[in-house]
Amino acid sequence: MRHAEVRELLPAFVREGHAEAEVKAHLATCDSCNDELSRYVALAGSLASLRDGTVDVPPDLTQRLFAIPTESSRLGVVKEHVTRNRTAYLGGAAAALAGVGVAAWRIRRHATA
Amino acid sequence: MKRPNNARSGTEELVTPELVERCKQGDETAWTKLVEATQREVYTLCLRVLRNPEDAAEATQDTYLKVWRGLKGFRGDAMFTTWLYRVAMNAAISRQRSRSRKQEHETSSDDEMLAQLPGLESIEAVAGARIDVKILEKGLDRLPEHYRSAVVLRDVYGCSIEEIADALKITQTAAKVRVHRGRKQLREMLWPQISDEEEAT
Repeated sequence: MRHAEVRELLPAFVREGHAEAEVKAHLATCDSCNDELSRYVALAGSLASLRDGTVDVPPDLTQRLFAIPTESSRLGVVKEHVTRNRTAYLGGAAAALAGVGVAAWRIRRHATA
Repeated sequence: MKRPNNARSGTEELVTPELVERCKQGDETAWTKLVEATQREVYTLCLRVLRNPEDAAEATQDTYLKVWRGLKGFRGDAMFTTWLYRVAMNAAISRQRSRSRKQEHETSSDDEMLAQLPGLESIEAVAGARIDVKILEKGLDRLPEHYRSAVVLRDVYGCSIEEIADALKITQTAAKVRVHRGRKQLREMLWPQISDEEEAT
């Protein structure tokens, strides 16, 4: 296996552990490819260690996060109100339409009779 | 303040199933505790993906809104923090997507922002190789956005290829390719003097 082919596989070798026998065999005898592998190992280790550090959260953001339950329930109340009113409105509209329909039917009936 | 210790394990200890259960029942004191225990990690994840404090703050808020609304459907069989980070990752990615649609944002190396990111002392990495974290952060910053999010999620946060593909709305093959190319580019930035050709001959 050629160096270039091995190197192409190294970024995946590090974490996904694609341990093809051929790659392993090459690495066992090739110093320069081993050096390259150790660079990827170092990179993976450094990237993973980044997770262990965290930064301060802006205080106003924390306050906004704390307020989410209150805000949501207020929003929820508004939503519920709108929904209920919409139902009432739609109900009213339906009733009105029904009324018009009945009236029209009566008028027609009256006219034909 | 930077907190370079194991924030992770601390977070997982603080978020007990009982605390999550109380939040599910609408207990606001429990919610405050939950936010306090997890907000640093969530905000830092968003900052790492988005590289801009305002966007990171928005994505963090999106995350907790989704979590609060989704708590009722959260079953105890999954680890809460795992779910939380997945929501955070999705929030960060979708903000990134809408941002790149709207404007050509400035993600260029803002030193002030970089200085905010933790762990600026160099790391003694495995195999004797030393990578200065500042240089690593700069490298991540210079990485094309679609490679960066893939590498950050995979290598910093340990997400699976499947999770990354779902979040980025791409195929698993494409996700794998992005991680692979991102790592390669980073490696080239970190050791520019050592090129493949030179060494392979």
